[in-house]
Amino acid sequence: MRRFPFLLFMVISAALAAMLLQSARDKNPASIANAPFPAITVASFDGKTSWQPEALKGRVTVINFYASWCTPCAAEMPELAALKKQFPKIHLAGIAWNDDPKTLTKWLKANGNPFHSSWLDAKGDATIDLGIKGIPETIVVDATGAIRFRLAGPLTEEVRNGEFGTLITNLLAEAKGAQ
Amino acid sequence: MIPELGQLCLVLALLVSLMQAGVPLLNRFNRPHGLLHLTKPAATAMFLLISGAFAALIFSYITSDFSVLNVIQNSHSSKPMLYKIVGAWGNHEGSMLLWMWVLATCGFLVAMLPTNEKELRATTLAVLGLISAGLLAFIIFTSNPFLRVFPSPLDGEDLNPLLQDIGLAFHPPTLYVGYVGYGIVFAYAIAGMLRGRIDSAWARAVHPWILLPWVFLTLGIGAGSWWAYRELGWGGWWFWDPVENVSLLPWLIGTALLHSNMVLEKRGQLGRWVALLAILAFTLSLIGTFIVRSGLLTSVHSFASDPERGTFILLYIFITSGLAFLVYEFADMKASKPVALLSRSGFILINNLLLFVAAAVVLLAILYPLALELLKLPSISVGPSYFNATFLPITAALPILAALAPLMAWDQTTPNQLRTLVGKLFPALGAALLITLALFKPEGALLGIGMGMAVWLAYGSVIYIRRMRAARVRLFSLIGMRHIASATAHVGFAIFILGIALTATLKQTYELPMNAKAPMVMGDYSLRLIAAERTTQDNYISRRATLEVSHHGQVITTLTPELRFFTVRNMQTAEAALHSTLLRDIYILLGESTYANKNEDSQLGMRMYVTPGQQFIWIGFIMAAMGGGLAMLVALRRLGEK
Amino acid sequence: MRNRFVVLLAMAWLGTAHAAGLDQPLMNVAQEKSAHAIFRELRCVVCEGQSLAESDATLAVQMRAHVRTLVAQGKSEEEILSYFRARYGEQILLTPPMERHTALLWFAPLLLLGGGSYTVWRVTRQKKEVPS
Repeated sequence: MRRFPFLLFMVISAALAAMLLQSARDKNPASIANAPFPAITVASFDGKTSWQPEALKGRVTVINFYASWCTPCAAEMPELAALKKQFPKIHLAGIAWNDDPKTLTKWLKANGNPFHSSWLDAKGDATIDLGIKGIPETIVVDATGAIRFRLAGPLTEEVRNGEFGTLITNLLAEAKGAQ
Repeated sequence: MIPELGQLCLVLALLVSLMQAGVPLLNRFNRPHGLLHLTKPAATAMFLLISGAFAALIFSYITSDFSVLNVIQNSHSSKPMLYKIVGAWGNHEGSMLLWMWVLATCGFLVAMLPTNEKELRATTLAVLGLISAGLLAFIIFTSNPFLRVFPSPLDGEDLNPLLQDIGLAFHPPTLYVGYVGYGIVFAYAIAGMLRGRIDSAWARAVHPWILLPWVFLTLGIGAGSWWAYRELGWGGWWFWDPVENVSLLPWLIGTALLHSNMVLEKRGQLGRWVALLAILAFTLSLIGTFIVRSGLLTSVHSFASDPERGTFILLYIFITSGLAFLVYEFADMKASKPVALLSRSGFILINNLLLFVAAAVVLLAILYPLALELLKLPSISVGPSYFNATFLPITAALPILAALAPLMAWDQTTPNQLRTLVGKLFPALGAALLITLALFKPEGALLGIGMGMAVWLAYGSVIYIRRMRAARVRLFSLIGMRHIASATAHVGFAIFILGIALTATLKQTYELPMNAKAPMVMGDYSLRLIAAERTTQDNYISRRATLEVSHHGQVITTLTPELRFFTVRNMQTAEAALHSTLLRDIYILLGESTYANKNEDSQLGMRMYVTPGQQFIWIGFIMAAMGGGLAMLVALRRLGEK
Repeated sequence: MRNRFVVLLAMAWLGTAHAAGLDQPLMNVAQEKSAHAIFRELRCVVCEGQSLAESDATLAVQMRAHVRTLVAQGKSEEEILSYFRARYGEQILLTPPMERHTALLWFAPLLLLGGGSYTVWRVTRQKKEVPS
């Protein structure tokens, strides 16, 4: 009976140590999900065109959620441009959250617009539908329309040259093979 | 130069603490009296050295010495002086140094205060030396506030704006006295176990040190809750956030400890249990410190999310508490008379059981999500509804016991006597319940129960004081003061319960967009917008609305809620406007439209909370702390007594 | 906590293209009440110390609008909580679900209380001096 506190303490300490070790290893902000990309409702800046889910099929799409008032997003723009240059075959789509078209157009001009297509999620429906907690976030969708990679936080050179780049290469090869 | 001096003080202190621990503990087998001669000067030297180190750090902040890494990371030349100083401990390294300073100060006081138990004290100081040595090693080698950067940058990085509040000046130091204070009790417990005696004399010597951290934890938690209420902008004061919970753990065990220590002092019973609680209180303080600084949990409280530091702290806890539990296992302590269930001692034992289970539940709630992650299971959130279902019912029994116990005999009360007591208190409870049910129909039940418990406890305390007067005990004698202290704390608890019952059931919330043309009507209140302005301050842009508040047509006050946008950190905070009276709080917040470009003015909206009974919660905290403080003074006064 | 939300529809929006100040409540009072019950069950993903009911973060405001839309569509509380759970993970639910991996969490208080009471009972039944 008297030994019980000591033993219990050892168990809890061991558990805490294990939790600590695990959290140290788990610093990777990216996560992989194989679910199909949902049919979101976003429109172009002028409101005239709507996002077509079918457009995802047949090509590798990299979707970046950002906003003009978000500082890390501005810092990320050159990296996205570099990504586009590195992989010319991908489609880079930008979805702005909680923003307005006029400010966005100005901001994109000032920061260099890397996107092939630009969309606006004014009310957050797409953001919520994708379970996004913060921006910037980048989602990689393969040629069948399935989500293959999610990066929460800005794209850095390190990540781009690391697993992110490798994944895109593989997905492009997959897409080509399917054709 | 100054930072180097600070560094030197730390290193010297480490050496002194090793001496303070090593020499007496080694010496004890040769010349028992050798202990006494060394520990006092050693403790004094520790206090002076750590004070010097802490002063050096604060000096670096005051002079904005940006060659010191810690100052760069946590200060800015444009920060008001008060917050520059406060920033010294608003970060990991500085706060660890504050921890150390509190420990050194307490050790100094242990050495200086009068005592009849000189050997116990010396052994305790030796144990404290060991505890200090470990902490100092941690500070010097992994969390050194005196690291320098050359060439030094022109300015610092701004401090988190959420922390630029007067509450920050008081909240951490207060809590640290709490956490560290239990370290003193811990040392006393180990010393007592090493000497084979945890008895009435031990209890009397340690009682002031059991009460000191409790009072400060009560105040610290209260201050933190008050800060959260004013700053975090949602009208609540406790969210069962893991970091809040972490401060609650030692408080719960500390409450159990202060009650059972009374049994130990008066009746010589529960010695082993008190020793165990003493070890547990400090262990929980340390684990709390660990959890907050290791990166396991993120919240507004987390300092450095550094697993390496976390490993060091965990190692420290493992060694310190592990050894303590081992000593507990093998200590040879005298037996004592068993406690009878129907007695004051027995009720205190039940109180301890409830507090212990409550603490265990909170600890489980903190660790469970982490454990699930560890086991690769889907992780969860443990929100308020869990605690409402578990913690509340367990602690709800406490006020019931607290009214009865002081009116019972220490050793044995008969069931008839108990029945009589219940009979005395029941009318008060019944009346409160009926009146509440009559006045507040829909919320009646919950509110009625809360009111009933509060009245039950308060009335019980009144009877307690009346009995004391009837027994001709003088109010200003030491015994009398002890009675008043306990009654004050219990009445404080009763008022606290009342506050909780009122705020939980009668709170009203209103939301409206800002209207410049007509008064905004919300229930019995109407608000008129007098002015809306946008100004630039020291380090933020302020958007403020001036509102005239009327109740039933009468103007009661003008309130100015504000939105602050901190440019350097790209963060926005909402400064609520508060109008408090004894009976209710009015709390107004500005919100903004969904599209928010911070550089332009956007559409503003308003949220207003009317919370009856909010002030009772703060009054409860303060009264409980006052009661504990009074009891502590009495215990101090009795230290020199034979 | 029980909040009584009394929301008045203001007559004059300060005419902009964007939604006014704070939330736009549902016209149907019963539906608005259901929505609020759901807000209190969801964690704000931005300010993690608050429920969706209390948070003023923009994403929270949008999430509340989203919940209201789903409520107006006739979805049940369970369906809506599942919707968010599927997208944000279990941690968005403030009340831990009662499932196999959370059973211990829910039963622990009772077990502890039971075990503790038994110990106190044993300890106070003893008549003689014990080395405990």
